[in-house]
Amino acid sequence: MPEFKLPDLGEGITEGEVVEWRVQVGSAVDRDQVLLVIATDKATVEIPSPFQGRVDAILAAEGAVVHVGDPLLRVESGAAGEQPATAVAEAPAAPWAAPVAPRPSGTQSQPSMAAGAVPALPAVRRAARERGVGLESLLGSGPGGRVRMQDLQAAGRRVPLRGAHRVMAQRMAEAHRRVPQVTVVLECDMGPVEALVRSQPADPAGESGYSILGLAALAAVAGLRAEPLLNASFDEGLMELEYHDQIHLGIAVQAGDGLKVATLRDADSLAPGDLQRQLGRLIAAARAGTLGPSELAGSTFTISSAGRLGGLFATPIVNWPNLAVLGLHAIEERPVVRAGQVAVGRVANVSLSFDHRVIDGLTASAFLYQLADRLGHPEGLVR
Amino acid sequence: MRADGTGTSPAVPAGAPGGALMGGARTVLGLGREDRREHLRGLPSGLAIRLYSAMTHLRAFDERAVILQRQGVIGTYPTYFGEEAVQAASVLALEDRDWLFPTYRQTAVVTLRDCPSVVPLLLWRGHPGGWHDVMRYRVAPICIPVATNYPHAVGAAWGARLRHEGWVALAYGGDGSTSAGDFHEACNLAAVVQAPVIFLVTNNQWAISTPIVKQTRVPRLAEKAAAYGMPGVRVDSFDVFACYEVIQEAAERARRGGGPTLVEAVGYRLGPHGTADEPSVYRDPRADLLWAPMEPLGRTEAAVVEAGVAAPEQLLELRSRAFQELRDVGDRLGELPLPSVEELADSVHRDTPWPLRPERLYEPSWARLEQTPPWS
Ligand SMILES: Cc1ncc(C[n+]2csc(CCOP(=O)(O)OP(=O)(O)O)c2C)c(N)n1
Ligand SMILES: [Mg+2]
Repeated sequence: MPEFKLPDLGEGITEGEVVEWRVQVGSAVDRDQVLLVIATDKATVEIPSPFQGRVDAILAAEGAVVHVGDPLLRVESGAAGEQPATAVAEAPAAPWAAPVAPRPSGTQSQPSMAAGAVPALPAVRRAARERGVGLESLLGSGPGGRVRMQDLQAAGRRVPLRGAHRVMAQRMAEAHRRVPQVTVVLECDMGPVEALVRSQPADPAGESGYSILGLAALAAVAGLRAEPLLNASFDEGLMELEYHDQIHLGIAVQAGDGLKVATLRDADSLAPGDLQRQLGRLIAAARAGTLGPSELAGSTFTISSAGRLGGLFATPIVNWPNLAVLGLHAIEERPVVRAGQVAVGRVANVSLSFDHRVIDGLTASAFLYQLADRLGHPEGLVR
Repeated sequence: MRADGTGTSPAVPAGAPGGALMGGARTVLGLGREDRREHLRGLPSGLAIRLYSAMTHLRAFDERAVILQRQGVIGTYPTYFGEEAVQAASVLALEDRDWLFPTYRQTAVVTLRDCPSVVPLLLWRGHPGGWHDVMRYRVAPICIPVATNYPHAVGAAWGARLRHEGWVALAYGGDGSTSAGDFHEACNLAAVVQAPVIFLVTNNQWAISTPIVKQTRVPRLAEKAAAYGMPGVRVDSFDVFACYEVIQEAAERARRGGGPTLVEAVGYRLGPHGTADEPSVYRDPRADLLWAPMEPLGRTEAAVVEAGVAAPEQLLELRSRAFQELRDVGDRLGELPLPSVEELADSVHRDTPWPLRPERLYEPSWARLEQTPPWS
């Protein structure tokens, strides 16, 4: 039974971390299908399968550090019912090719031929079977109406939501249904924060220093101490506010398998450096899918940071039963006016979406202005 | 009817990086629909398909090489994803007797001169079988030290001129290479002696993690030609038809005795620098999103189909064949043995010096160098 070992990925790389498996025990794999994602010192890369068959065993867990030559998985090749993979027209694109290669309009939607003999490659047939989609129901875009992988992907198929996706769906609907929310937005000068992040000496222990998100979290904690209402929840039935003694920060993380809110517990009792470290650990765990149950629930206030692809502005939705969510949007160079002069500033929009049943606009704005002010003097946050 | 001088492709959103950066680049795909169709239909018979076919082959080679690298069959590999148009055009716009001087990023151009694909793949497996027959294909060995291939091409081309042999040389390079002394010396000498050479500089905006703005104050690299006294032309590197035209014009000029040309094929590095690179660490992912629609294979396909020069089925057939062929080559490659240590110093010196003799290669290098040679 062929075993797949971590290949020598070149340029002196000797080990890597298993970030994510893309196959499971028992699943069929095609040649060149991505098996797993490995993070090395240099890059995070997808590893395509050299075999075709069925996964018999996975020999390295997500999060494990593996060395070149260590076995990663065992494949039972030529399992019954498997056809040789010949999906050449669907040859896998290089990983960075994913969003590219728009298909010319001319190759699309030719009517498919008579039912009963829908042409499709074996890999497509199997994928259709696995998804419970009948090929007859699809319009093939290939020559002679051949159904291609992309037709299958475009088809209206039904996929049950699981795990983080499911939680996200429920929470978002809940928040939207129950909470009349309002969003206030400010432009915030991020120059000082960026300067602090940049100025940190490299840590000999290899730990990264304060991040922009970490500093924003510290600023939020300071703000919540001053305004406990934003850290409360609201009992609709009893018409009562419930104030929380601790600040549990929910951090929205975009992971491969959906949006997750990782909970940084007792954020108000952590020293700044500890908060930053905890935050880093949580985000890594969220991405690796190794968050424990207590780390996926119980937040009292949420921070959502969309990073560099965050756009000019988005409308974060209050993470019910929290009362407010802080949104950090992309940092851009923009003209700013300082003392009557136009200068180039490093500016980000920051927003606070809040539950208008119990929080008024003034409270929300005050929180946000103070947050922007704290971010303008970040040295005060890390003391 | 052509928009050279001003044209930018409509596929580039105004205000996007491409809008400003592609200014003045020759384009065919960016022409209006009618002009574009007219242009494609006016091409010599079969040329559009040959260009598309060459691009498909290059894409299949590149994708297979990346997969083989991820599977540990070959070593580190510099992908050229996105440069298929300019590379395919560079080979097809020239004659078979013209010489090519590639870098690490053009390892597959030799296969467009009918060298089997397995040969350059073997090179990245560290295998001596990876050296193609230089004299037969008239393709020099790749140069990894940046810009060193430019003077080689100039020397060769100057020789061709002195002997009235009628062929031209084309040297490839990148934006980063224009900062190297070799580039300056090569351009200067080429212009002085009117060597029949084309400097094909693919300006993909990045030299590993160094952006063009940290490379030079003259980001329109074609402008540098003026300082040497040769023509400089900009062209959309993702536009195979425009590249073909510009390179053919440069070759004709060189053949007529008109000397060198600097062609700046401007675009963006759509992929990482190589298989061990992580661009998200140093470049803005939004730029990737903006440039993605420029991917050349899809653009060419759309234009060819629109002009009625080929049917979609014909293109699919060409694609399928190329990917299947490279898949087969990959299978054979994995079965070939790795070279032995003894072969390491083969074909380097005429008489292999004593410290590099096969029997000594297993000793640590300091031991080889510190011991007294037997003849002293
Ligand atoms: C003389 C020399 N210096 C440094 C390097 C390391 N190096 C390899 S590729 C590269 C970047 C070259 O960039 P560019 O000329 O823009 O070409 P591209 O890789 O973008 O095609 C560098 C610095 C080298 N190979 N040779
Ligand atoms: Mg470059």
